[in-house]
Amino acid sequence: MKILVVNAGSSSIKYQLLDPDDSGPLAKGTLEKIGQPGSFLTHTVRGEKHRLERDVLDHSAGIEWVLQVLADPELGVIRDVREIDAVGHRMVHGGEKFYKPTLVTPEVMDVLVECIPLAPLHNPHNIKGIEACRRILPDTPQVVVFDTAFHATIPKHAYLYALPYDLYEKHRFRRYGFHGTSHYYVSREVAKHMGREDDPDFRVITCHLGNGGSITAVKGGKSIDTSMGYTPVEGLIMGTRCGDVDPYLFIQIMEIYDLDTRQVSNLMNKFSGLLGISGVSNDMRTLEELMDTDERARLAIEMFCYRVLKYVGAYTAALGGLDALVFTGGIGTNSPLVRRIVCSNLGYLGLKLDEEANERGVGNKTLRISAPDSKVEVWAYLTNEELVIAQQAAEVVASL
Amino acid sequence: MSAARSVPTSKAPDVIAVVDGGTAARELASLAALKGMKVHLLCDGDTGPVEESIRASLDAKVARWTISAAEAKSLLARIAFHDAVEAVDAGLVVDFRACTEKDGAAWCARLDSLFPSSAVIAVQLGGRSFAELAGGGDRFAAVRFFPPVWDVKTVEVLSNGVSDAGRGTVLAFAAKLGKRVVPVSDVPGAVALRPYLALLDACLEVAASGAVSLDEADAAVKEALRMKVGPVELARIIGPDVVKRWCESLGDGFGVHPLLDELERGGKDDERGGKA
Repeated sequence: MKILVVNAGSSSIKYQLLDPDDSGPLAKGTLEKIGQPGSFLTHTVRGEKHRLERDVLDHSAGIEWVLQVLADPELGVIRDVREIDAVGHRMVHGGEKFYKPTLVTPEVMDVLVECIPLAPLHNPHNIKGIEACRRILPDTPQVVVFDTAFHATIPKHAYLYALPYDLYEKHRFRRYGFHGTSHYYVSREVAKHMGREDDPDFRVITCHLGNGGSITAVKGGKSIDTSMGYTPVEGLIMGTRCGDVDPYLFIQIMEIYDLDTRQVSNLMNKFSGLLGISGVSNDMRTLEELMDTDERARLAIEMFCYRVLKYVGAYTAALGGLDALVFTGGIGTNSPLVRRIVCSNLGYLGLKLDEEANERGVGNKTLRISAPDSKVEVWAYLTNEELVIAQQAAEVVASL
Repeated sequence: MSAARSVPTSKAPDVIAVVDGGTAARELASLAALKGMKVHLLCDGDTGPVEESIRASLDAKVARWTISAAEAKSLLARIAFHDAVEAVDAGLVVDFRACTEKDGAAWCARLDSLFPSSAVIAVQLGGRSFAELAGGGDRFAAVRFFPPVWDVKTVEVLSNGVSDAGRGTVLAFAAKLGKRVVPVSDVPGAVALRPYLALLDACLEVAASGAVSLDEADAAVKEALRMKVGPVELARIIGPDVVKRWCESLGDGFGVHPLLDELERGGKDDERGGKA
């Protein structure tokens, strides 16, 4: 079976062609600068990377080009686009309407459009990708997989905000959570490694730490709480997002600086986090290089790790204990320092890090980094969201 | 006001030219570049001060979290500065000069002869009418950006008397800028300019009568009408010289109030406009 996974952004399309029974992609790539001069496609096949250039007017033309490349005699991996059994689309926000992978129909498209206000920066572009694929591959099933879906099992007492209940009823203002596909994948895989995939009491905390970051408490394979909220701003300190801040502070800042909503949105999304604290960079690698000579770079790392630690502590309490702690995402799989700082404060759980294994956990590897006698297993685990999307799309198609 | 007509859907241009180096032109050039367009900024003379002004304005925007430093850098790289109003290859030319020229029609005729026939020419009307400036030109459109151009979320677009192609391109351009279009007919100063100038004049008059100080009048109007800035403060932001020009071009009923001259003497931040 061959599934094309599409992740459409405002001016880009990321794609992978996968066999859902195999973890590696047959081909993958990114089309950038759609609708702008100088569009280009970076296509990787059989271990070789190719850069192709062509002006691409819109997402439809972009998908058409991607399919041409996939079926190209030299660069491609299929003879005909009809070999594609289904297309799996990543969709950031499904709100309360979608809690599982869904086959796209005209009715579903209407509801997807209704979800645009929930993620106005992402959902419209995801929808453009779906529309383009439906036009070009009208007979191929299209399945949409939601970042928020894994968190649909979070109980009401954990997803509600303590605001007037009317606001929830009228606008569905609540915690939704993101990175669900990644949290699902690494929690499932670690449960398999530990032989506990069917154990309803298995307790794992997954830390997806990248430029954006979130932490999820998973019990028996189900998300019971997560750090991102109605939007991805809440929770951890991120590359340029502030994470948890007293909301009243933004009112004060808006008044003092006479800011409009767009400016304060930029402040919390683009100017804060590691960048805002360090004043140097949003990149953890840069901060680690500077931490011995730059006090604020060190402070940014300390604050980042402390926030992760607080969530791990809170979620351990919510889970009633902890069996496994998983680090994933660019920082999670590449920063022994961050993992060491976080884990050094978790000895009270009986967690012991294998220092040597932790140091080897760089370069996007998957490995167990806890000591053999640790009461909590700790993993650095490479996530694979595309594989999950392909697998879930395949399941939907198989059920037709 | 007439209702918006249906016009053919057009694509926003990838390359635009902006004529003039004044505040409004600089702001529009910066905003278009932020939205990914390549911009030719056509000034008449030394471009150094214009570029310097844009840099200072972008620095201020970064300091107030409007854009990031990286965005400021990349948008600046998309602006080409020209020291003459000269022919360039652009899908849309936005002119801020005709409305300040004595013979605006002659200026529009010059633009018509200068730019390739494929370019749409949109004329900023200010306080003047399209019929007076470029009426009838089959590739002309008319707009009214209100300062500060970067911040004001609407743009008035003339819905009749202009070419469909021109209007379609301007609508696509406005959408790409993130502006809401207010369709207007060809009434000088309509819409926002007229009520604004009337309100400003009333504030200046009440202050001139000695009933209240100018700043108190401004504060009272601002609060009572729930405005973000008062009319006098806005005049200082826009530049009293620009406001005076609007009054002069609108003529009857919009004379230049003597206190506006005082404002101009007291608060000139910029030869070609205010702090916006």
